[in-house]
Amino acid sequence: MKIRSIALACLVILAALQTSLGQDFTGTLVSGFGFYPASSELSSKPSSFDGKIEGGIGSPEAEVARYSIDIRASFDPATQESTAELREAWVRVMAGAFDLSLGNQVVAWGATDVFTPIDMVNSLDLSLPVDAQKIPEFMGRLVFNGPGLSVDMVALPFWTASTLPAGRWQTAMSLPAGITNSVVTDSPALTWDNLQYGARLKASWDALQGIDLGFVFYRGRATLPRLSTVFTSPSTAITTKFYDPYYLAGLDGVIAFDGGLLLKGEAAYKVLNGADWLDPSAENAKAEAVGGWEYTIVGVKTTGEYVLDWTKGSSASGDTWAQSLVFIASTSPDSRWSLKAVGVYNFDGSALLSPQLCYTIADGLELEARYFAFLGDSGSVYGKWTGNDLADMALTLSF
Amino acid sequence: MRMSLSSAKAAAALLGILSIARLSAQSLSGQEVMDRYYGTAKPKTSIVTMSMVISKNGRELSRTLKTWRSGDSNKGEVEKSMMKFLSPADIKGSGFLSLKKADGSTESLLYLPALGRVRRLSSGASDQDSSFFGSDFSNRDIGGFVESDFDYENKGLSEGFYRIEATPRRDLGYSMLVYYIDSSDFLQKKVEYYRAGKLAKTELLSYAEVQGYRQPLEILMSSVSGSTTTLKMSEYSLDSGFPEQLFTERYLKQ
Repeated sequence: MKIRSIALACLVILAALQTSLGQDFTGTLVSGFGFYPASSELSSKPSSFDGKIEGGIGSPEAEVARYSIDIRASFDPATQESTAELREAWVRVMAGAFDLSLGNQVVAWGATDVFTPIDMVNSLDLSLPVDAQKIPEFMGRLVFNGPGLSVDMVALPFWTASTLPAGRWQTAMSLPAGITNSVVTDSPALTWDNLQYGARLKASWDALQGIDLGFVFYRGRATLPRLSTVFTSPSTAITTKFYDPYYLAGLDGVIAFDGGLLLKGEAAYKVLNGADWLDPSAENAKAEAVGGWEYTIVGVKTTGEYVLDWTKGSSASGDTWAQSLVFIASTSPDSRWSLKAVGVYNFDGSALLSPQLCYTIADGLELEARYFAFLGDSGSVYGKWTGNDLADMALTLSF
Repeated sequence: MRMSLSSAKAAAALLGILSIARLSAQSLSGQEVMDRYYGTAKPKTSIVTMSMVISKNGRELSRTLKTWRSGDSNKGEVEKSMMKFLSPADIKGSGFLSLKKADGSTESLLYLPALGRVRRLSSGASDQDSSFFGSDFSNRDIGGFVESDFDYENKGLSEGFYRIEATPRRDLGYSMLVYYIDSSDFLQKKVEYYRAGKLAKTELLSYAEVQGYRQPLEILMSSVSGSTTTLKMSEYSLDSGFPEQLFTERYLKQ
C-alpha cells in the first residue's frame, strides 16, 4: 500500500512537471557485503537502486525553478525483504534573492567534517553507526541569498525517528530475570507544538583566502529515544521511549589562510525538555565544541579535529566532560585510486581506526573497501564494539 | 653555378629583410612577448563545454564539464570561473568555483552533491598542485596563471615560435615553465612544465576562430609518467553575458 502511494505520488508530480526543460534521469546501483572477523560472520548488505529525475525551468544561468525526485528500491538478502521509499523529492522556486523549497530534503549545516554539532536538521540512519546516513525529511525551506550573507530557514511539520543501530551495535537492556517488560513509544504527534524549525545565518568575508562565519538557532525533537522504565508490579515493567524537545544555539566558522591552512570550528549549546535554554544551570544542558584544521602536504590532505563535550550534571551528580581527537589522511595517487585513513581517539582510552580505499574500475563504476577496527575496554565509547571489527566492500554503478 | 647580378641583389635584399625581421623578433624581450600573449583579445564572458579524457596504460576515464568565466586578472579584475560536472554520473552535479585576484591569490569553493554543502578549499601550494579530478592537470593549471607570476626570458625564435623561459616569482609548484609562443598570433601552442629542473609534463594547444576570438579547441597534457589528459572544447558562447551572481555559492549548488 505504501509503495503504491509513493508510486502514485511520483506519477502525479512527474505529470505536473512534464512541461519543464532540461530533464535528467540518473541512477545508482549499490551492492556489497560485510565480514566480521571476530565471529567469522559474513553479512550481506541490502542492495539498493536509486533512480533520480531532476530538471529545471529556465537556462542554467537563470533558472526560475528546479525539482528532484529520488526513489530507492532495496533488497535485503538476509531478510529477503524488498522495500521502496521516496528519498529526496522537492520542488524549488527561485525568486530574486530567495529560494523556496518544499518536499523531502537533506540539509547540511556547519563547517567541520566528522563531528558536526550544528548539523542536526535531518534524522539519521544509524544502522551502521560508524557510517551514519541522513534521512531526507519533509520540510519547507526558505533561503535568502544576499551579497556575502545568506539566511537558511527550515520548518519541519513531521517528526521522523532516527533508525537505530543494528542489533549487534546496540547495548542490550538488562532487567532482572523474571521481569516482563513492555515497550511504549511516545512519538511526537503532528501538532504546532511539535513543529521543528530553525535558521542558519552565514556571512562570508573576502579576507585572507576567505572567511565564513555562521550562527544557528534550532528548535527540534530528539530523534534518538530516552528510555524510562517504570515498574507497575514487582514482575512487570513498562519502558517508554521519549523523544525530548530541545533548543539549540550554535556557531561555526572557517578561515582559509594564505599558506593553505584551513581552520574550522563548530560549537553548539543544547537544552532538552523545554527548560529555559538561556539558563546555564538547566540540568540537562549539553554543549559540544569542535576545532579543527585542514592542510595538504605533498598531495596528502590531512584533517584534524579536537572535540570537547560537556553535559550539565544533575543535583545528584557532577558535570560530565568527554574529549576526542580525530585525524584523517587522504590522497588520490592517480585518476582511479583514492586512499583514506581515519583515526578517532576518545580520551576514555578507546579508539576507532579505519583504512579505506576506492578504485574506479570504469566511468561510473567504483569499488570501495573499508575496515573498521575498535580498540579499548568494553565499557568505553569504541571499546564496546571490539567484537564488531568490520571489513566491508561495496560496488557502485552510476549512470 | 653562377648567380646573376640581379639575382644576387635580390637574394641579398631578401636576406636583409629576413635579418631585420629576425632581429626585430629577437629584440622583443620575454616580457614583451608575454605582454602580447596576455594582451590577446579575450571575451568578457565565456561559456564552454569541455570533455576530458584521462588515459593511462591504454585505459580511459572521461568527464564532461561546463565552465563559465568572466574577468581578466591581467586587467586588474577578479577572474571568476565556475565549473559544473555533467558526467560521469557519480560526480555529476559537482561544482568548483574559483575567484582569482590580480595578485594571483585565489579563493576556491567546492560543492559535492553527496556532502550537500559547499566546502571552502585552501589555496595553498600543495592544494593547487593536487590533480584536478584525477587528471594530468593540477588545480593550478586549470585556474591558469597571471602574467605577474613569472619573470620571462626570450631564449630565441625558432621555426616561428618564441621560446620563453618563465621563472616563478613565488612558489607555484614548478621550477620553470617554457612557453612556445607562435610569432604569428602570439598564442601559446606548447608549454613545458618543469619540477626541480626536470620536465614533468608537456601541454599542446590548438585553437580555432570562435565568434571573432582565437579560442582553445583542444589541449593535450602529457605527463612523463605516461598518462595523458585531453580536453576538447565545444559549444562556445562568448560575450553572451550572464549575471555576476552566477559566481556564488547559490549557483554552485544548483
